[in-house]
Amino acid sequence: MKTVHLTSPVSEEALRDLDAGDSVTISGRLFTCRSLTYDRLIDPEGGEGVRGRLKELGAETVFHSGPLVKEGPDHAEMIAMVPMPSWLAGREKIEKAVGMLDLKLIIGKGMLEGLEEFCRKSGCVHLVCAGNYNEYAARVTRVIDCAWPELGRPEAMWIVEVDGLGPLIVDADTKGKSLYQDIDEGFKSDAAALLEELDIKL
Amino acid sequence: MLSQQEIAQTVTALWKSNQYDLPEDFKSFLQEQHDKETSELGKAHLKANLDAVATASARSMPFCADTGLLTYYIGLGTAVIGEIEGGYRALERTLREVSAECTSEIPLRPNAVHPLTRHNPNTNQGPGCPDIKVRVVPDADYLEITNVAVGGGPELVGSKFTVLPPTAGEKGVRKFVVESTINLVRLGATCSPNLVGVGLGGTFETCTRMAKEAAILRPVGDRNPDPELARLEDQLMDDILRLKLGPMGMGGSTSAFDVHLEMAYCHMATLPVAVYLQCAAMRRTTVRMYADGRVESLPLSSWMERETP
Repeated sequence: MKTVHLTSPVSEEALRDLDAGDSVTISGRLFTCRSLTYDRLIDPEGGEGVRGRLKELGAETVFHSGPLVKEGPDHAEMIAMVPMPSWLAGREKIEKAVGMLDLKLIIGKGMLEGLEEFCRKSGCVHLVCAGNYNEYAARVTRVIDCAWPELGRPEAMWIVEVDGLGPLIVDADTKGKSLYQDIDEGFKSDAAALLEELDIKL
Repeated sequence: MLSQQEIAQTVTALWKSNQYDLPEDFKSFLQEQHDKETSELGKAHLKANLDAVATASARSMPFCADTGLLTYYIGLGTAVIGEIEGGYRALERTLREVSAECTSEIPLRPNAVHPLTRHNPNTNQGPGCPDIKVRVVPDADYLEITNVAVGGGPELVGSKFTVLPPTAGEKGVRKFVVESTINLVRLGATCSPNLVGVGLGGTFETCTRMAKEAAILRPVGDRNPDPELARLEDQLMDDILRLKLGPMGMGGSTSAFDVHLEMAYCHMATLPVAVYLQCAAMRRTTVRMYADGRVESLPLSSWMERETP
C-alpha cells in the first residue's frame, strides 16, 4: 500500500503504477455526476455541448456525488462533497461516459461488480472514499460551472477544480484487481461457520 | 404564550447544532470504537468520521453532504396546546417554513424530490416533507421538538422488511437480520458501521417504525428493558461482529456500532421483522419549550419512553 499524489493530466504510466489498496490524493478538474446526470451526459445530441466543455477544461475525473452547494449572487460555494455508491449510477452509463470523454479516474463508494474488468480494458481506475465527509469539499478551490441546474442542485453537474483532494483508496486498478474482491474472499472464509449455522446462501 | 417566532428561532438553532455536531453520547462512543478497531483501513474510516465531526463543528458546516430528509418528532404536552400562538396548525406551518429557510441559509442539501418526475423544488418541501410526527404527552407543560436528519443511505440501501412464517422463531429472526446486514454492508453498499435497529412484530408500519426509531432515537449502547429482548440484542450483535465486515465493508472488527431491538405483539399468522441501518451521521437534537419562555436542551428525545403496560 503506497500513497500517491496525482495531478491532471494523469499519465498512462502513473495509472498503471496504481495498485488496489493504494491511497491517493488528486489535483485538477473534475465533475460530479449522478444517475440522471449521466443520462444527459451520454445522450448523443443533448450531451454534446457539456462533453465539449469538459474536454476543453481537461476534466478527466468523474466524482459520483450529489454535493451540497451554497449558491450566492455571483458565485457558488462547495460546502460538502461526499461520494455516493458507484452502483447507484449504473455500470453501463459509467462505461459509456468513460469511453466518450476518455476519463481516467472514477470516484465513488463501494464496489461495482464488473467494473474491475472494464478498468483493466480501458486503463482507468476506480477510487473509493476513505469515509472523510467534509474534508473533500475543503479541497475544492474553484467552482467552474454548473450544467443542467434544472435537475435540482444536488443532481446537477458541478465542474470544479480541486487541490489535493483525498485521501481516496484505489478499489479497481488497471490490472484487473479489485480491493473489494480481495476483502470479499476474506469475508467468505471468516463468516463461513455462521453462514452455515444460519443457513444463509450468498 | 409560545410565539411562532420563538419556535422558528429555536428550530433553526436546533438544525444548526444537528448538522454541525453529533450527540455527545454518540461522539464518545465513536472514539471508543475507533480505539478498539483492529484493521488499519477500518481505523482510518473511523478516524475520518471523528475528523469530520471536528471539522464540522470548527467550520460550522454540515457533517455530511447528505443533510437528510428533515424529520420532526413532536411531543405535544396537553397543558401547552392552548399556549401555542395560532394553535397546532400554525406550529406545523412554522416547521415547514423553517425547513425551507434552513435549506437555503445553513445551507442544507435539497433532498426532497417527486418520486416519479424527480422534480426538485430545492426547498426540502413537498407532500410529506418535512416529515412531522406528533405524539400527545398527557399533562406535560412543554412542547418537545426533536429534529432528525434522515440520510439517504439508511433509507435507500439500509432498510429491509419481511414477514416470516409465524413459527420461524429466534433463528429465523437472526437469519433475516444477519442476511440483511450482509446485503447492506458487504462490498461497501452503504456507509458502515451502523447502528442496527430491529423491529420485531407489530403491524406493517409499526414494525418498520420501531426499527427506525430504535436505530435513531435510543442512546447507543442502551439495552431493551425486557431481559429476553436484551439477550436477543446481544445475540444479534455477536452474530454481526462475527461477520468481520468492518467499516465501509472493508473488513475489520467494527461491523456494527450496536443492535437495538423493539418489540410489539403481532397478528398470530405473522412474524414481521424490519431492519434499519443508521450510519455514523447520527443527527438527532432535542429541545423542550415552555409557555413561560424557558427553552431546555435535552441529550435525548423522550419519544421512545415506553408505556407501562
